[in-house]
Amino acid sequence: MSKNLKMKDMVHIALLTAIYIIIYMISMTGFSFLGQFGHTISPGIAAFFTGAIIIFMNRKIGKMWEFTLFTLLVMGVFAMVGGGYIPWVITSVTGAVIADILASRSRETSIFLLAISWGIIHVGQAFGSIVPANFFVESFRTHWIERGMNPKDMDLQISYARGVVGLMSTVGIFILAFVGVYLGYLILRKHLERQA
Amino acid sequence: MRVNPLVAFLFNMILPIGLMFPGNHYQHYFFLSVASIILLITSKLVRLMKFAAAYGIFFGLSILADYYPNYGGQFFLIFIVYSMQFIPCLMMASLLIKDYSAGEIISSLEPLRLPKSFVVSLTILLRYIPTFRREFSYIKEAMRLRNVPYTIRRPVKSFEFFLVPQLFRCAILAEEITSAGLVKGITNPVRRSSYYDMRMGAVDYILCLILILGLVVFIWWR
Repeated sequence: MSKNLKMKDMVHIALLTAIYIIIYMISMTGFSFLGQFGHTISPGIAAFFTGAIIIFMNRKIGKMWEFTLFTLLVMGVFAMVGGGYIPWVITSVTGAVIADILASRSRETSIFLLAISWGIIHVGQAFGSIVPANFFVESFRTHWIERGMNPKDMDLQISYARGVVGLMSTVGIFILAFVGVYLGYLILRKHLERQA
Repeated sequence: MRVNPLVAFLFNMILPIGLMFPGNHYQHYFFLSVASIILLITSKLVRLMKFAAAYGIFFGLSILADYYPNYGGQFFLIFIVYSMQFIPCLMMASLLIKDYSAGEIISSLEPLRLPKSFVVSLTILLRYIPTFRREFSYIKEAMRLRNVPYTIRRPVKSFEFFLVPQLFRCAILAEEITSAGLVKGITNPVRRSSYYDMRMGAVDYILCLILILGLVVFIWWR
């Protein structure tokens, strides 16, 4: 088996990314009642419902840079609809590269390792707001207020991303992603066994 | 009249860059106006009216949410504000999705010399999102025929019925799309030729110039 991504693998990743984005949008809208807290942990909520995607991607493709391409495509789509934010791209791609190094070497990566990788990918996404909220708080606040956010909401979001609460949000996102992969495994196990 | 897909791509790349240099409220109206003009010159009047109606609804909701913050309004304000910001991008995305074939889009992106694999992946992704509803309706129909219902009483099972067919359908689609692409020589390293004449015209250049000038002006005038 070639270790490089081929055209078929890229097409497959693109289609799986489309499903991920659709579920991400549905879950973000569905959980908007959680307000700013929901916005901060939205990567974790999306990861909880899409854990099956990483298992499926690994079992069907299982090649290096699959998660990086997946993340680049996600970032590409969000940038195209006006959601581009450079720190978010940097932390997300960094998370995806780490996840690739950890879990993209074969089609038989353990579920535990995939769960860790899915957690890292989504913590990487969450760090796009958590890192600026902790280290560049003023420019982060000004940036999003000028982009249309309400100052009160922005302060609330920053409070969920800073200090101990920020740490708890990060841990929460990781746990949601981790559990999401096991939920995905519960759903996919018999189907993949039947295919094998 | 049609505009080159590159104009729509450029628009959707420039708008987020513009949003990264905020500070001028006219910026949003500039992009909204340019997107409306593009829909007008491509004779998409009905679509423009639909977007105008959607914008009007979101605008009204944003005022309501601001007036009644204690009734849950603030919770939805981010969603509403974001939706309003995205409308010009969605207007351009509607052109890319509804009015151009995948072949036309790939041909129009050829001069940019982007990695072919990334262009193909992004094009497929953009084309698949709007077909999701149709794919989902096929799955629902198949489930109805087998008398398998979605029910809130069995959430994990219902979620499985929603997700698993989509994933396996993706695997089949990936095979089909790749086969079609291989037949058309998508992996051939030589420069791709095309049936479609996707050269930029005078109007396309003027629109690009307006967009780039607008971006420069709004970066400086903050």
